[in-house]
Amino acid sequence: MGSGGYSITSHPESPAFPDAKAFDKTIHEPARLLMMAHLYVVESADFLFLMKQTGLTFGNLSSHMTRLEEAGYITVDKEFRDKKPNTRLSLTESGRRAFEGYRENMKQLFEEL
Amino acid sequence: MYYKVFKYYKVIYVAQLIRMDEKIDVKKIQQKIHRDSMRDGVTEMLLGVLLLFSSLMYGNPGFTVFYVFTMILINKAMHCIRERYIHPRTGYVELKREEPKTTVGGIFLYFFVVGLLMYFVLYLAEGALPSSDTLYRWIPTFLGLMFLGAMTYLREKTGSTRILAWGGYAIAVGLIFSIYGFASPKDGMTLYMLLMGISFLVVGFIKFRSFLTTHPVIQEIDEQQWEAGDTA
Repeated sequence: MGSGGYSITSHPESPAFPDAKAFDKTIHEPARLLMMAHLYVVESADFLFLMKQTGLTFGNLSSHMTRLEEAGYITVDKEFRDKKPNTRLSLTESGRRAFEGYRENMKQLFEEL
Repeated sequence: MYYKVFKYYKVIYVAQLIRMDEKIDVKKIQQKIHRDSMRDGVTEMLLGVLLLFSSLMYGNPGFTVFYVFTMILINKAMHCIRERYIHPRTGYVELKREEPKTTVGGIFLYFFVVGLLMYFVLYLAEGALPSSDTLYRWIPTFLGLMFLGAMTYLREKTGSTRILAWGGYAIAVGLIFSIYGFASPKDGMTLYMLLMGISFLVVGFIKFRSFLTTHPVIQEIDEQQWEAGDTA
């Protein structure tokens, strides 16, 4: 609240402001959104592929992967192939729906603007 | 004052949203993934081998056995090459499976329509039903049109217009071979497949060599290695 008694979004002359609450906070983060978008268009992909495509570093990708896995949006299968670690990621049904919902919200928002 | 701050804040926020929206253009992402998956030249090399064996089979039926073996082994060979040379450099991705019925249906429809149109054009040009010799003579052009169809489909998949150059090349060679007219009508078709096979093989091999040199092997590390600072 400011001295005039209005919050930044409640000024009577203010135009409609995009409602940030409409967005899923887990997805509404550039790196995670990028990961979700890449996983949305494929059946599955491994860690290296996502690293190459998104340009994220190992640590960055790893932490966002954990976040998305905890939200139940992706499944992560870790295994050893030729004695080397290999992590396979794919979008879950709930992740697919969440991503589609996010895109729908975004579309609506741009139409309203 | 608050209203002004709000206006600036809104512009920044909307700009940020636009940037995020651009990032999730799934069509563009899909096209880039397809484009990247074709950078290795493996598809061209294997298509080249297939066309070479096809031409050998038409030239000499004794090669039919090799052709059948090639057809059986081609998928396995592609998988092995990708597993050994490509995935350690690009990572592994399993692309979305397309509805086989739609794809095969589309191919047959295109095949049928182009065949029918060519038959009609030849009928008009000759003023009578085209003979088998005439049909054989124009098979290279027909094959060129088939390549053009395939490349147009790949253009849509990858978003790369450069791929249409193959279609243009295939049609140009097909027309030259058809117009030239070989002593035996079958020779045109055999030589066409031989030339196309060699072209695909050479271009595929160059792309493959260049891919190997420009894409170093990368390796996933586990969390312990990451914590220890081993990022190689």
